[in-house]
Amino acid sequence: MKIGKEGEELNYRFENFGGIIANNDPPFLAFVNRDYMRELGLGESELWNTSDESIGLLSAPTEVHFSITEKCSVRCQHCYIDAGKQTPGELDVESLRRALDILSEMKVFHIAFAGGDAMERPELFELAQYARSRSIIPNFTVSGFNMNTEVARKMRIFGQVNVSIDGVGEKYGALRPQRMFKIADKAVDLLVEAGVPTGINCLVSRSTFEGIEELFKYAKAKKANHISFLRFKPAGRAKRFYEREKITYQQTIDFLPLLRRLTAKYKLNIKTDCSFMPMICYHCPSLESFETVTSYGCEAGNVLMGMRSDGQVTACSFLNNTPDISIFDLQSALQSGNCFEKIRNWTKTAVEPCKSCKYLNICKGGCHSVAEYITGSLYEPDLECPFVAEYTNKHNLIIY
Amino acid sequence: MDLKSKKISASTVKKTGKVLKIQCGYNANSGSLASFVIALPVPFMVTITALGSLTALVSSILLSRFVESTHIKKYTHYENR
Repeated sequence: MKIGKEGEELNYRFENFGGIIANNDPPFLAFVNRDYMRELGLGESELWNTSDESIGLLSAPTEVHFSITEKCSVRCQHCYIDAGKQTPGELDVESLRRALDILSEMKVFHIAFAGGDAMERPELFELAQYARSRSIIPNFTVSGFNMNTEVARKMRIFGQVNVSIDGVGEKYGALRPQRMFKIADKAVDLLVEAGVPTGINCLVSRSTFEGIEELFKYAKAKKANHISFLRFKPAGRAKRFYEREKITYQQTIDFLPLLRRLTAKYKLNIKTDCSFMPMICYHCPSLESFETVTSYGCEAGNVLMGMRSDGQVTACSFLNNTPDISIFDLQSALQSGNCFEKIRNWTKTAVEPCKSCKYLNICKGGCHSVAEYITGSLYEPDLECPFVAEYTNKHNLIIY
Repeated sequence: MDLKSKKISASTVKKTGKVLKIQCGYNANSGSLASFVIALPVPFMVTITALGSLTALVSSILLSRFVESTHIKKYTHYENR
């Protein structure tokens, strides 16, 4: 559908509540009601044949974690998929294009190329270009490995590129090979210089927590557009270090006040990943403050999904025990309602203390990969949630 | 579709059409994708936009409320659970 003076294509899709409209400059997804879609001249939808106009289960994810290889030369000790060697079954470039076609037909708006190190696939930029041609914005996180001026310029194809840097200088090496800091640092310079929207990814663990302020200083000085804070999760090789590196109870409580102070001090934008929602809710922000902003707790299998390099789709890239679905069957599985239904509807079966928590519908149980690792069931509450920790202590519950 | 810098007044937005919520930015994270936006990019605070030649996408009033409600400073008020 061609709309607008310059004939630009409006990227949107219908949902039961109305629809979602994608914008690129500045980048955002606007969730609008049915009347808004009508006012934009976008017509009516069969999805509106329901009185339910709430934002709940979507018709498709808005973003997909799109892994194209498990090969990685850096081999961080905490890699969440145990990446290293190329694995058999990796989709060829033609199949990856077909996978992008399917995501485009489903009106998925964004993907994050991933691996392994996706830069180890020579077709990365070709696939990114192909995604763009199918109205999907490609994004990417890099270690910095193999970055140079020419590659940095090519990175302009992405909507956003983040460089993984958990700490500055020696603090970088808490989780990653120390030799990589100079490489990552140089990559940030090259990307910013090339005009690529560049951010920093910080994996927050017990060891990296103390270096967060220094990272703010660093990101500000480097002109990064934001820092994304990601929680240390027990997946892949990280399971071996989980007990050592999971953030402490006190750190779970200190996390939001620390970010609040540093954001104000350094005037730097930040994001946290969905798994930090319990640590945010612990400070009791008003429910109204969550209403107009897209604040996600666990949206596995709904707002987001993950595709492995062999084409199997998981509800989230960290979850092991949701039934996998081939990317080539995803559309029909979603239409038939046979796609990650249990995790998508987790709030209906939530147990205490989540069941009676006023943030249940926002948080959705915290990180289910943590629950899966500790309890053996991904449908249990996240035991790193300070509310849950206090509840289990109060009731003398034995988890293990 | 890129937004233009053309400003619009709130009165040009029909009252029945509403922006329910906005997800800002792109997620580059190769591990977990969904994000909680605590502080917003500067363009959101200053750019009130029109969607091509169509009706407004985001009204200025809504956008300013949105910015106010999501800025991290707003998390200073606590409630009793």
